[in-house]
Amino acid sequence: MDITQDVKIDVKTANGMIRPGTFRVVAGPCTVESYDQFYAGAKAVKQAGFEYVRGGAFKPRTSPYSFQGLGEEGLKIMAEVSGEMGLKVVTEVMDPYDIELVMEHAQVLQIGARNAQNFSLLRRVGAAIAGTDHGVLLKRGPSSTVEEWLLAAEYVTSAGGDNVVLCERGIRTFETATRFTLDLSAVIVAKRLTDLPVIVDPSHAAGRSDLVIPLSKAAVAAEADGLIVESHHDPQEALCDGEQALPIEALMGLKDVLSPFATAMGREVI
Amino acid sequence: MADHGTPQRVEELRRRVNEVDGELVRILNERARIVQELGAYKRETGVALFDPRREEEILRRVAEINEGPIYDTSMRDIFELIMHRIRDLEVERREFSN
Repeated sequence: MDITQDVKIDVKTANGMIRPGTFRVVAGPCTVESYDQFYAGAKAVKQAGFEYVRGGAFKPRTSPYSFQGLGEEGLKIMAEVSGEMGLKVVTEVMDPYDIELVMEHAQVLQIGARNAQNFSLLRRVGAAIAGTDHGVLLKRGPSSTVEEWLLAAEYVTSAGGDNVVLCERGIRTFETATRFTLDLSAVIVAKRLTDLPVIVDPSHAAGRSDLVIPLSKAAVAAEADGLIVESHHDPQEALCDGEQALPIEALMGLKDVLSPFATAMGREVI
Repeated sequence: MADHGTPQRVEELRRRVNEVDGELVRILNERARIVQELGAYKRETGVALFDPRREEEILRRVAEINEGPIYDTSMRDIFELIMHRIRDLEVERREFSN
């Protein structure tokens, strides 16, 4: 029986982030904390066999007193380290004023869950990346329906933005065992309604690292085109979301763990 | 209060409502079949099902031709539901189409 028969594995982005027949893994720390910390994190991503590193310079924290990220300094660290290692950077942009700055240092601009319906930001990002190789990773708002999520993407694409990748990161439900509830059915529905690639963020959805690997396997089976996971060389000491970060050893084994599932779905883990 | 049965006038109005409902059901399925044809064409030509621009066009038109007493905004809500439920049919069908 060919289980890949009805699975749309041919979606792609023009900038190569998403390629047909592949399963893209983006990994890295929640936040850039220092040069050394990001260097260790990026090196692990590279050694684990992945090409895209994530890291936050501008952090949307619930409390204004929580660590807010290193800002421009964080962007510079990411650009320098990733340039040296030949990695591409995915990082969040929160403020329209920072779009150009972020584009100078990163290839993929993430629009976070809290800004998922910040329509002026979506439009400005779309217009800024139009005609470039830069991409957008658009997270689903924790209270957004699939329809609202797709319409948010439409704000980016209708402003000229290409290379849009959707990201399911969990929605708010009554369940308290996990931080959010990963909505894998939304991945499938979104893929049937559009030709946009859809990836999954199991780290933010679960809020705990022990569920990240099982949810990642489930994401492959649920027709996702990739993953974005948080990893840290020392989760215990992380400044942000340490409890959901994969330790380095787990990151090193991620490709091997996912490959049998990806192969079954007609994909190669990259 | 003793039940003297439903007055004839109410019976008559209910009969007419039933008739209109029957017609609505028939017409909605006719709409669904047309959309299915469109869906098949989109599938063949690789066009995405999600088309918010066209949806807005339909909703605007519906409000424009609406003469009431249903509010324009309510008519939009009703048609949004109709469109999305019929689109769901297409999303489901895609699964069995290969």
